[in-house]
Amino acid sequence: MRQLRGIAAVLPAFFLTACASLAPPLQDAASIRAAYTAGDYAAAADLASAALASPGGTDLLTALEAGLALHAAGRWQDSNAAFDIAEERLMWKSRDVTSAADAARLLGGMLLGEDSVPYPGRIYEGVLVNTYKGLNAMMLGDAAAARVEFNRMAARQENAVRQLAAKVAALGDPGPPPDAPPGAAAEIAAAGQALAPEAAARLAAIPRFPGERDLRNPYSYYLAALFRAGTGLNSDLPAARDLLRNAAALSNAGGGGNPYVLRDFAAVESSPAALPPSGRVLVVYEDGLGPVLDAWRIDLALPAPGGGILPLSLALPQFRVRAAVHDGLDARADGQVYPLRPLLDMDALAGTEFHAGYNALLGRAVAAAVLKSLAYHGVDRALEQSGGDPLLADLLRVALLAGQAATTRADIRMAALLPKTVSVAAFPFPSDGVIEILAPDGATVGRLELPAPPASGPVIVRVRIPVAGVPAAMHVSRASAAGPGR
Amino acid sequence: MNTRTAVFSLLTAGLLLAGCQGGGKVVSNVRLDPASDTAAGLLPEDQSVTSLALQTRDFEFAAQRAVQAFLDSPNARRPAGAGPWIAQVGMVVNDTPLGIDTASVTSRIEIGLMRSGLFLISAAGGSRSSGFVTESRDPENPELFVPGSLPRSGTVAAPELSIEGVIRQRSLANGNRQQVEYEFDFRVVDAASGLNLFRDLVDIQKVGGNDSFAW
Repeated sequence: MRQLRGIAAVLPAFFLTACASLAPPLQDAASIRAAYTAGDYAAAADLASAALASPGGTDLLTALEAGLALHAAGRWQDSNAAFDIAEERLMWKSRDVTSAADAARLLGGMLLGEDSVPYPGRIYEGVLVNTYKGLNAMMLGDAAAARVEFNRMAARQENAVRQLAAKVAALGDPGPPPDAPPGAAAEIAAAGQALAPEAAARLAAIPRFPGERDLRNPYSYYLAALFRAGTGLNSDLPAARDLLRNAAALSNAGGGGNPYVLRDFAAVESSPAALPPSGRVLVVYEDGLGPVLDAWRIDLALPAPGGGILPLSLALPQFRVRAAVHDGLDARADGQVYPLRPLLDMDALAGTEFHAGYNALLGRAVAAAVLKSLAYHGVDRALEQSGGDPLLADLLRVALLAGQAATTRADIRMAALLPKTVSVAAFPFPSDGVIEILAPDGATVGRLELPAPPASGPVIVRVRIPVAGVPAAMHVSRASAAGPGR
Repeated sequence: MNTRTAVFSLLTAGLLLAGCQGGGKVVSNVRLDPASDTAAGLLPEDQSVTSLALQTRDFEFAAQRAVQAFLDSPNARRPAGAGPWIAQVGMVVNDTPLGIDTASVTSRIEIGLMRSGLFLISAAGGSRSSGFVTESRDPENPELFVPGSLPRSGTVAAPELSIEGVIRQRSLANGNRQQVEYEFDFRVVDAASGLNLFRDLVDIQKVGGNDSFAW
């Protein structure tokens, strides 16, 4: 009977803990997502600002979504403030257990549900946080800040390889990249032919990149390269050249390629100063929404040795890609059409990290299920032996089963407002300062009057369409000179 | 295995992992006490070195080294009676992942050079120029000032030297330790000849736990 009372005393605490972890801590993130995917970028940005001002602080996931929403609304400074918060909370490495804090997180996740511990973020999210911060700084003309962010981005890309390369290699051949869009193949081939033999050799000299294709982010490298090329500092040109090589090698890996990146790489290889530091337009188009995780669960009641049941609950996340909005957009300037060509496949980038960590995830889920089943079995036997009130004992069993079900949850958290793909086009500044963005059917998505080209760096045009049928968010970088960054 | 054994095993594993941590101490070739400074190698653990990022003492170290090396250089000397050099602080690029203000080092360099008595620092140009120089010649409300008391044009001393530089960072990880190397690359450019009058590299190394980025 004493045991029965002990269990009855512990159960409320257990339930309180379970309920606390079930409380929706991510309501802010959900509200931001709803406004964003409805195409109301201003409302999403306002919600993001309110969430960031929350007196209780902002969790990582909300900060990530807030940064993306503020970015889509063209509030570059505010977006960087949100990403600053996200960066403070981002765990920097894979989810391996190498410290006491890691062990505590692991235990907490196993006992109370994988999503009961603070969201640690993912490595590719960290790379993108610094990429967006760098882009925000470029949009503001703040070269010093952009330089710092792109340096962090590069450090995170190297870290991604250190943390994940072995696990990704164990996954085997990722298979060929998606087919190039119609018309792109010829452009890519032409750009490839423009490569001098020395440049082609420099691309081929990094054979490890095919294996790291979906671990590194070529779009981030390309942006950083254009930033370096546009500072006006000769000392930045070698780094611009290497970053372009990285972007070209990654986008080229497996037979794909981005003709703009290849052309820029060919140009800078022919002469380090050949890449036009200014007087160009860079259009960056973010299409659709990146992958999300769904929960998959199974609840079984197995016969226990010696009678009774052994409940077993298992919950795991499932990777789900979402639909593209447009297969491709075009930019028209001076009567010429420049197709936007894909440079980043978020499904591949996020999927690689997810699958690399899946075995560990599965192991934790199984261990947690077994642990909770054994715990139930132990309590069940104690209740049997206590000889107490059978009704109270049954109530405790039901409560324990409910608690077990409630604390078996998959961690399905990830930044949900990232794009599915990022496409780019780079072309000369139009004589009339006007560009049009065209849908595949030729319909005008938007028409933009560009400011005068800055003294250094490209004019950047950002286009974002997260969901079919919603208006595009379009912004142009400030006209001020980027400068070298002091 | 009963429940108690399972829970005990998990807790034990956690404690063992906690015991394996131990990579958090930071050592550097720069210490709080300048008398202990060395560029030769890492010093034993020092409580003053708390971070893999750059600290005040690191900027102090880099500035002192650069100033002393420049003052020791024969190119810093001028013929007798030539007066002090007039220098300006040009561009110093922060090419690290750290959000640092390069003024943390350039101000110290300015101070060191001015204290030597061999240099005057121009506020008329460069990255640390003062708007006062031009505003005082073209004030917003000139009627406020005593006629003839405003500085005339043609009186600003042209800088003869420009102090420039870049701060770089490299990071090398090995197991649970990482080494972060900072490189302060300074040069002094002579406006008249276009030559680098002086160049110096100051290295700062830090080794610490591999559990976070240095920034």
